[in-house]
Amino acid sequence: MKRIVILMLAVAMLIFCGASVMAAPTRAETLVIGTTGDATTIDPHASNAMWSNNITINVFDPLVRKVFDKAGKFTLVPSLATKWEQKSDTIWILTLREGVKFHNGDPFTADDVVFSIKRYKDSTTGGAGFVQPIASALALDTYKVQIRTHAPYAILVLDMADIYISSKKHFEKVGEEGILKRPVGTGPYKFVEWIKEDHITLDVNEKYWGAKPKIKRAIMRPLKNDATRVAALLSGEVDLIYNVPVRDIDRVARGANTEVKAIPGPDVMHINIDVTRQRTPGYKNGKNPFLDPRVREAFAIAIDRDSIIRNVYGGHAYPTGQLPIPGAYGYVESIKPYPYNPEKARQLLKEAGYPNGFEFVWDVPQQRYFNDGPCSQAIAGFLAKVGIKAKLNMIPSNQYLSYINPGDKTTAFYGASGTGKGDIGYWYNRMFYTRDKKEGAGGSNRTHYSNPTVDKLLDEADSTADVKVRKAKLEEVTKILYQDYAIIPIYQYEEPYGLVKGLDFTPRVDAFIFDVHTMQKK
Amino acid sequence: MTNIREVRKESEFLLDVRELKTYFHTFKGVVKAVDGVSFSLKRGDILGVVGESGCGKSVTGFSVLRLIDSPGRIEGGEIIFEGDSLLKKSEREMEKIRGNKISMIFQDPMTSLNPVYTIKKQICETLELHGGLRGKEAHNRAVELLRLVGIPSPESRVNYYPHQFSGGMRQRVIIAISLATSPSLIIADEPTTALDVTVQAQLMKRLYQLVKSNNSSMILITHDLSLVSGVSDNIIVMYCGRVIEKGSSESVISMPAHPYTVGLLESIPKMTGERKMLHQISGMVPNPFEMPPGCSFYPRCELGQKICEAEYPRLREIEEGHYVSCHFAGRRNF
Amino acid sequence: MLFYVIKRFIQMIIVIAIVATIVFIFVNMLGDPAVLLLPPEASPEELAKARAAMGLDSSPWEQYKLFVVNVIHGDLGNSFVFREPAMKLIFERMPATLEIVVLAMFIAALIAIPLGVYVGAHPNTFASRSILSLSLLCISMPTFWFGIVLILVFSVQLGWLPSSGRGDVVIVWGMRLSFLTWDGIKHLILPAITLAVQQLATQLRLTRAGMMEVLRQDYIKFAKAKGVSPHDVLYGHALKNALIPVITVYGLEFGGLVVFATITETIFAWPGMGKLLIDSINISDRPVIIAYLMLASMLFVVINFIVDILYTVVDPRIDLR
Repeated sequence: MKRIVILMLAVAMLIFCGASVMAAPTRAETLVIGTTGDATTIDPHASNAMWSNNITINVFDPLVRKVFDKAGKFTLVPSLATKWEQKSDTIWILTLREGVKFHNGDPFTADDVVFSIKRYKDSTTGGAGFVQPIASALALDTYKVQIRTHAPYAILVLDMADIYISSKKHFEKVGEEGILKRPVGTGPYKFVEWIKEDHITLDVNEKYWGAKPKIKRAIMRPLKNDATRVAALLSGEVDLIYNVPVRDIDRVARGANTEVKAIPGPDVMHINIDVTRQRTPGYKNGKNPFLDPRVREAFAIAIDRDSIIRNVYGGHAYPTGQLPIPGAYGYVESIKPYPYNPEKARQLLKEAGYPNGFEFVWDVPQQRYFNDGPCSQAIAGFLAKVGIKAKLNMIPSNQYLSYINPGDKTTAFYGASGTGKGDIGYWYNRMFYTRDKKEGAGGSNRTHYSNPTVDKLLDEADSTADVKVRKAKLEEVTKILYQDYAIIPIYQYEEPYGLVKGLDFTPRVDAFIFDVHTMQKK
Repeated sequence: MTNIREVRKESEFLLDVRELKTYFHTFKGVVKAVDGVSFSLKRGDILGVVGESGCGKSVTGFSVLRLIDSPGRIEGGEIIFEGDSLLKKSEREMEKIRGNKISMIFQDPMTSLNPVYTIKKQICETLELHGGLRGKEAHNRAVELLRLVGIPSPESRVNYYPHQFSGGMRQRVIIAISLATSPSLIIADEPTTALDVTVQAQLMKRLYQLVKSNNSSMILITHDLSLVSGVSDNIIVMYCGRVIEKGSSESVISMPAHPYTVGLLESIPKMTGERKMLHQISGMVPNPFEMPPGCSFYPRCELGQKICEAEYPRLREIEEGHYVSCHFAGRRNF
Repeated sequence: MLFYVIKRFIQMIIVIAIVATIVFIFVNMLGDPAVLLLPPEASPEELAKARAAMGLDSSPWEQYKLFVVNVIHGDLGNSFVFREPAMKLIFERMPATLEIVVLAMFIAALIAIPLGVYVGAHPNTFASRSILSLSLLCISMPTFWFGIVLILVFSVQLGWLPSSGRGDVVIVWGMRLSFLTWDGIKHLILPAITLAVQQLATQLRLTRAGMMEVLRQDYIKFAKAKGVSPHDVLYGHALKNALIPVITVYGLEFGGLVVFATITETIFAWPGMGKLLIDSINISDRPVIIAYLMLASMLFVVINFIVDILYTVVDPRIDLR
């Protein structure tokens, strides 16, 4: 017995000798955010995964910052770039902010911008496809950068909002490994620590060049389990959570200290159909029935979107007829969701020569999107009512894209699009540009859609330096896709945030939600 | 019939069991494993308890130690040991008697020793509990005990685990444990049955010597009449939970009165005399849940009459100290 | 003994080699990591670039050969997602998991064994029947549900204990440990209870079954006949004999919890290893999956080895050979 006590004391002493206690932050000055996932990296140039972005936006400054108003519309305001001038169709001159210092004291210069753009371009993690239109970046002097694009590129400024600048000197000193340990930016918050799957801590940058942030410390905690995340908010352990599950929205909204803020999110759930190929893999009895526009229309109007939103999403979604969300380049105000009309759908099928309907294979992921199972089953149910038998081909989430991407097995699939960036052009290029016609376009065109007019409009949108022209061209594409029924949009997600009362927080529709320096605790 | 109890003097007997009833309350019904058994034992005497398996002889032994597990229960009777009623003692007091004043030798040496402890620990446990011996003292006593029961090189063997011994050796260890506290009574339940025939006699002889030299009494429970006949002073024969015959060894062996005892004796091969087919008691032991109202041996009995079926024969004395429970025993030659 | 250890070590190497190979084959059947890691609109060029960066551009056979060579040199590869050594990621997470698992198993044993002994020794009392029914409830209760209920009651309603995370930690030799601070201990309680409940029930029932079996043995009756007190009969004579199956299952469950406590870790946002495995499978982070399962198989072999040694301590009849 005595020996055991001595042994335990010895162990305790050893432990305390090697120990150092972490200082606890004051709760009132701290904003704790419950997220749905952990960051995958803290290298701003390596990923555009949402939860990595939420370190990036606070620790680093972009060239141009998006500021969102209460209605969810954004404006672009100068950040590290104070001025941007277009010298020619492909050449832009950026004037940089002077006197800005990185967190480690290094001064911010044009070299850092050139370095950061190059790092984006060299990224192997595919998070930076948006910088590919940039051909080169050149430092003209300490505070001037010249950017040359491959072709005229109207939305460079929009992309500049996603270009975050890290220190070249710091990188040269610590290398790739060092950057992964401690990111050094110019942003309103300094990186303190990232304990994987536990928390990320950011402390205010007292020497920030812009307006002083009100919140002293921000902690982001990955709380993947819905119920846990809500419980943490209700018990006051966190101040703000992303994605309140539908079944808990009322509970959080009615809570004594909590409220819900919801905005339509960037994702539109949709069905893509093969309307181009004569023979399509998912239909066995001859000619592709979707070649007939009447069949497509029947398909589109057979689905009761309101009923699905009510029954599957508890009313927390918005019916839509197009992929771009309101406010994004390419959005057409006048396009409404396809109206629900099963009688007409049956009539159209009869006219098209399918009085008894037909059967096709529909590729659907398993638990890739929220409630995708019940939703696709509901859609199949509505289709069956008019005679279109959709055979659900359920594919595990992690094999879904590999399965549908080549397009050789796919006639129709269920997917989500995101226009959080504010421009649908990139998405259209990938999804609807004729396959194998132009490099970099049509790569994700899984239903082999091909429409020369759409290709031409997209080319034009990508070769103008004028945002207005680009917008017009993209809107034109949206209209054609609507008329072609090449895509059957179902609904736009709602993004509900739960927060403690008195927190000043404006949700934003992109992958950079938690711009902490815009927030304030009462 | 004279009331035996009245003529006895208490001090004369080490153990006096009167009308002991031990019943088992099972789902199927009540089994009267011991149903009104009486016997007594003088200091230094050896009592043989004989009967087939299931006749209640082992339960009688365990009843004396009050080691009857649920669903069994001692329903009635008296057990007077050294003048005290054991049935009135608390469980605590019983713990002080068990293994100390009364110890027990079990039938199967292969399973009676705890496999996970050394022999030494198992002997010393008794020494510690009852003799207050510890450490070196206990060790020495353990070695001595092993030597006493005839285990070669006990100094090293004392540290063995049970599985390192043969069956005969283990039974010697058990005997050593039961003798450790020089008990006044040893209950030996079929002590040699599980052993090889060659070992049996050897061990029995050793046990007999040790009991005698210790001046202990012993209840030797066995199905083997021949084993009992050599060593015991008195014998009781049990059948279906009851004593059907009792008396001194000589009189029971030489003049068995109950047809069952006769049957038992005739089923033992004899080394002398003419060779003939061994006797066999025909029929089966009655179902314990459906005991016949009369003599329980009646269904198998060659002498059975009407009265046997209807009325249980009370024990009656057929000669001095020799009792039998049979309506016809001693009245006819057979 | 030395021979035995060497034999087991060789066995372990073989097991791990087989596991690694099987897992390697299986992860190749999972989705294409490049597609999963990159955004859905990524172009084929970007995908090709990513595949090359992850070393996925050669044939599976070539990849396997490279993998074997690297493993022999002690390199299990870098995570595709975190771009850090897979083993480092796993070991970073290990202390957190060990903390709740050790505590849970400790709680389980502390309660289950005495209760199991009691229930085994007195099978017909009302208390025993209640305990037994309750244990059945514990076994059939889904971990997920139980964890959430604990959170709702103790965090949201009563506000006594935190719902999730590790709380204040103390860093000891690079390991973050919760159990050395009061706040950390409060964070440990709910997840440990959630993990412990099923273990407790399983161990209780095993102990009970073992006790009931052992109590029928002659040596128990012999011990009673020696005058040993009921308590000493149960704990001194019976329990040690009843422990063999308990130890076996205890060891395996311990290993199982260390590597697969995923559900509990997810509910309580506990940054442990189990979550890492599930996340890695979801995004086909092959090096982590392979390293993880190799480590898991090694852990099981080691635990089995320890269990075997414990057998000989508990039961001298068992001989290591």
